[in-house]
Amino acid sequence: MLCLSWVSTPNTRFTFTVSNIRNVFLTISTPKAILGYLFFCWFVLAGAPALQAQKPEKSYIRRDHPEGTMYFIEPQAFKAEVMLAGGQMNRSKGVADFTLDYRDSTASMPSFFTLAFTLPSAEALRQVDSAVLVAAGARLGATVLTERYFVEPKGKQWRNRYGLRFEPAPGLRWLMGAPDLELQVYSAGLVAYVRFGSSEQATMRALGQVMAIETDLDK
Amino acid sequence: MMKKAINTLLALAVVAVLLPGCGFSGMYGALYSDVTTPVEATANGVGTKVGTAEVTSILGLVATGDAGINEAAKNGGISKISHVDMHVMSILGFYAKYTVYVYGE
Repeated sequence: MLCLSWVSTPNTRFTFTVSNIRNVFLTISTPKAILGYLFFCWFVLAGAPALQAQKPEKSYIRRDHPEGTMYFIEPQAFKAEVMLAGGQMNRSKGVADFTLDYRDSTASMPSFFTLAFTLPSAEALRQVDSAVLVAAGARLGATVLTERYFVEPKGKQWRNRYGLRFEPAPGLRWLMGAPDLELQVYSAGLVAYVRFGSSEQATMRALGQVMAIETDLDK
Repeated sequence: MMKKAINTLLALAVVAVLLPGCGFSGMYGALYSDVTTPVEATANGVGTKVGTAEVTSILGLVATGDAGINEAAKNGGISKISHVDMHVMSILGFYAKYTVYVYGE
């Protein structure tokens, strides 16, 4: 068991009590040290995720398989505006990841691009009828297949996760179309407009370029 | 004076052991970690799908999330697992992120 306490005058003293071990004292001469410590904690906590997000090479995986190469962009945060049938608008936050399964000329299957997203909502999203990739206001491609991974309750909300499959060319052109990306998801009675932040789009654009250069599938 | 110095060193040792650990074991640095290590491989062929799941730890005191293989497979729509990796990113134990990657079909 670990206990932590302090006495603020005249000096600040932290007392660690570990079972079966004598008390250990750490004396700090001024409260400024505590403020410095808290600032350092805040700096690390605020800076660590941002530091990770700024490095595109940390956000993707490339794996060879017998028929080609699989590229995976790790989950990127997005904000969604969900327009319901009555014109009511709800806002939500979720994540989406992207997979390009590149198949070479000898493969038995064609290449494909998959966008998988998790979207929390007040009502369960029973199905996704279709989705459209939009960059800078231009429609680049629509789904060729939608797959429900799971729909489950979480607290007072529902957690909906779907995989959307697109042709590789519009998928890659969309990634490289940053910074004005939008995904429109259509389901019975609602439309969700999914938009990504600027740092996420910068990562998506850089990694889209890597995939396009290596596979030439964007043409 | 000497006693105070010894006590201070002991306290720092306790903090050094408690904070960076964060419940992880293996080849991780106490000051900074950014490592990927294998977890498991099966007899199935190399997969073309990936699913991820993660937990986040703050100050080594609070940790939340579900980084189970089942959760990662579910997120990737994977029913046949080929192999599993994990990635740990930790800064001084103040912030740590543990991510599981499941590959399969």
